[in-house]
Amino acid sequence: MTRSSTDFGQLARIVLLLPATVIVVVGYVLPSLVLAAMSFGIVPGTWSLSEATTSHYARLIGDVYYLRVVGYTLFLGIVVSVLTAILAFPVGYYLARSRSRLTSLYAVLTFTPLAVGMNMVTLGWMVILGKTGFINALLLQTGAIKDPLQLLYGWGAVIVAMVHVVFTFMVLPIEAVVRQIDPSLEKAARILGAGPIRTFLEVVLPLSLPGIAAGFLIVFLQVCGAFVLPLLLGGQGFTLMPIAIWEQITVSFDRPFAATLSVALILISIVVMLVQMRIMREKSLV
Amino acid sequence: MPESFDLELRSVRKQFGDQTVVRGVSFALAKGEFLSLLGPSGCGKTTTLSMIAGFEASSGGEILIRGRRIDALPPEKRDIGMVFQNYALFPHLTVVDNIGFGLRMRGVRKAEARSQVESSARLVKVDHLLDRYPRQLSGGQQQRVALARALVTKPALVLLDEPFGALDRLLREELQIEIRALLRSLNITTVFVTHDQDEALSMSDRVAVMFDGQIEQISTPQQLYSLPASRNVAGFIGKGTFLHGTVTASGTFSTQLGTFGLPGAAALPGAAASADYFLRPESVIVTDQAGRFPNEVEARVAAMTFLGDRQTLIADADDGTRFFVQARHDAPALPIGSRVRLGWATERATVFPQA
Amino acid sequence: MSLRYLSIYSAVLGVLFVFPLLIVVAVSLDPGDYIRFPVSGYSPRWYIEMWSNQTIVLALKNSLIVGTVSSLIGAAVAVPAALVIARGGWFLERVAYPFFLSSFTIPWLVYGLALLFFWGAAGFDLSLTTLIVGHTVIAIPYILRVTLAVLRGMPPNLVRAARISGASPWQAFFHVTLPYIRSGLVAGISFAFVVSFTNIPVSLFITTADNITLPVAIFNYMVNNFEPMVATISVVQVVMIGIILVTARKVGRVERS
Repeated sequence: MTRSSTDFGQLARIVLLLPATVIVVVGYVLPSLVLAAMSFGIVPGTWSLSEATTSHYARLIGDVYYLRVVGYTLFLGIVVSVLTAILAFPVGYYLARSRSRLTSLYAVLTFTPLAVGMNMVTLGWMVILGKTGFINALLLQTGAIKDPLQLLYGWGAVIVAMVHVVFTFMVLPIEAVVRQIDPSLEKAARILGAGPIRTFLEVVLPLSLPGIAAGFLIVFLQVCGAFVLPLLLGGQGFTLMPIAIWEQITVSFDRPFAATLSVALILISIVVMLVQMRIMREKSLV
Repeated sequence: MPESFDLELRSVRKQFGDQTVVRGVSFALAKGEFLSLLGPSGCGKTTTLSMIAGFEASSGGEILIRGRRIDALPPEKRDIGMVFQNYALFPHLTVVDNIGFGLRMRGVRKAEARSQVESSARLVKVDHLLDRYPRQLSGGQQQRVALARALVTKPALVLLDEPFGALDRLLREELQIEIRALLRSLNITTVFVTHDQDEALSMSDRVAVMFDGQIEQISTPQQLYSLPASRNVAGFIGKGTFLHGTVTASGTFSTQLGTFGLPGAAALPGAAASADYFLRPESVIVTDQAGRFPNEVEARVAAMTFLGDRQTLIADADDGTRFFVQARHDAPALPIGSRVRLGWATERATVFPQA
Repeated sequence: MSLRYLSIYSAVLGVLFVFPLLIVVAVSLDPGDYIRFPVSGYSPRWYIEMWSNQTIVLALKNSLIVGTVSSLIGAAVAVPAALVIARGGWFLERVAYPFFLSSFTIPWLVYGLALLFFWGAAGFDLSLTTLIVGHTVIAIPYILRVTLAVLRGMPPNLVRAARISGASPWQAFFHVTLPYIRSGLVAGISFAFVVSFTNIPVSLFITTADNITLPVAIFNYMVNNFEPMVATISVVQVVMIGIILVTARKVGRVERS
């Protein structure tokens, strides 16, 4: 193919890509390598490979406590992803099919947790779920209960708040994929004898899978990397991987092990991404 | 109530807010009848079809299939087959599973369903494509699969929503003939929606011409052409010449171009009423001698269009009225701008009172 | 068909989502010394007192600087890269593009930790600059993706028309491409700004008392003292974001010739 006059010459290409490359290499690749090195016990400064050891990894795998932390993290990821997928699908479908002008307002609405930040969201849920918070105040006032309920801290609070925060990441891909589904496919299913539920299961759901999978991946990764929310809403003893990493730095001052936990978290993310890519390739639909 | 009609609509109405899109549509189809709903965009034909299918709820009136009211039934319970404008084949299912979808919804067992699917596929000649996916099929093939899917459950009624729009002309005509023959052999009552009058006239037993939410005329194609019931129908079906004028007390039609005879048909407007006087192209003859016809005008040739099997002469009279005249394919070409004399027999005219 | 039920369901969820934020606004106006519900009263006490808090004021200033600088530098490096990648080619699309997007995939807390180790190993003290580098890295994928999407939609003949009329490549970029991508670019920069301004995990390990950012400051407060002022500062943070976003949109529009 002949090069058009508006194509960039080789030199121009390098010059244009250089700044971004430098920043990503220096600001991302190198730090990641340092992190990986530290997880193997290599000390920055001396950088001697002879000190490299897998003892930190062995500790991670050998200690039930940390295996549980990993397990809880994955579990939370799956639970929140599944729950969000179920709750967000009807909303995504509605936004895709509705012709109301309010739908763009709604899209902004689901985006608000990200715009206001984790502090505000977490604080809000703490006040709602706390022993002296909104729900308990309401129930006590109306006499429905006599003693305040323990709603805050623990799995329930974390799951609910996480669904709130990641909701938009699930709604958007679902809305996008449903928009591409020809509405007459649903009509065709109906006229052929499928009721609304059957139509959903047989036509809408299979054709929405790419969107759901995309949302699932984003949500899962967000949950696995979540720190502020599980820390403040999970309470004592509720440890997920990011919290464990933070503890290693601020409490145990064990940097190498923090690095090891970090690498483990990255590996989990990569594995999940590869699994998703594999599933998507097998189910690719034109 | 005798089950004489397969499909019956009684004063079916549809309102969206304060807009009435369908006003009082009524008709009844005997078994095996093929009816087209014909009209310009926005006339309400697609909405009417949607109401029959159950995708829109009617705002008034009744819809009956074989004597049973179906208004309250959801689409899946109406025993109707439908072919959609863009076929709506399920992209994630093979041809076999597409066609068999309706059978599966009815709980037909796999083996039995398979044989029914195969025979339906054979009817539309797609039995060699059963394991393909819709994206691997051509437009015409997808069309046939859509039809097989609609027919396999042997519904009481088949609806077709402008199914040939996306196909090229030759393929369209081929499919029109094939599908019409198939539906006739199966004796299935059919409602066909289109904006293409050639399609409607060639395929249908009867055509319902709709304007602005109402059926202005429902007749056989021949009657629609030769006896249009209203100005709208006359102007929509085929070509013709319109003259404006008034009916005189002495029973003639007075226009700027002269006075012409009124045909002796019934329901003529009263005296001094303004009306439209309508002539089909084949009713108007080019004459070289004055006085041959009871009605004559002079006009200037604007164009002469050669269409292969005939020619259309377009000539403008002195008041600007455009005349469409059918000429033989071997008639001599008349020079543009030359004057011609046009004449017609009184009985060949149709008169429409102005609303 | 059953769109009505879905709209009710969506509306209910919408209310539920906004609710915690409204609660925080209510709490921010509580003049009491600790957070409680129902709120003890309504007064702008903390909105006034927060400005005499040195840490908060410094944190706010830092966040504004870091957010603005990182998103602008991110744009400055991402736009040229987008220009090149938009031309296509196997290497660019399959290798270079994912490479630039790779910081998307790392959990932010882990990245913050990596930065801590890196700056330590490289011998740099933690400062606003070290913070800005981190925020720029995470801004790049957002801006790159948006800009690339817009560029891919741009008809190629626009630039060709400019070039054939005598414009140099730089002029063509400045007078044709840039205006075309302007609104997408502004959206990308705004988004990157919000991400930076609200970001805790990346900043957590690499902030000290000197370069502390607003969300980290709020976080520290929340962990240690459960006071209404935490809510107040959070609301102020949101208002700041709102002001900056609106201003950005105006800037994005004003310079249309």
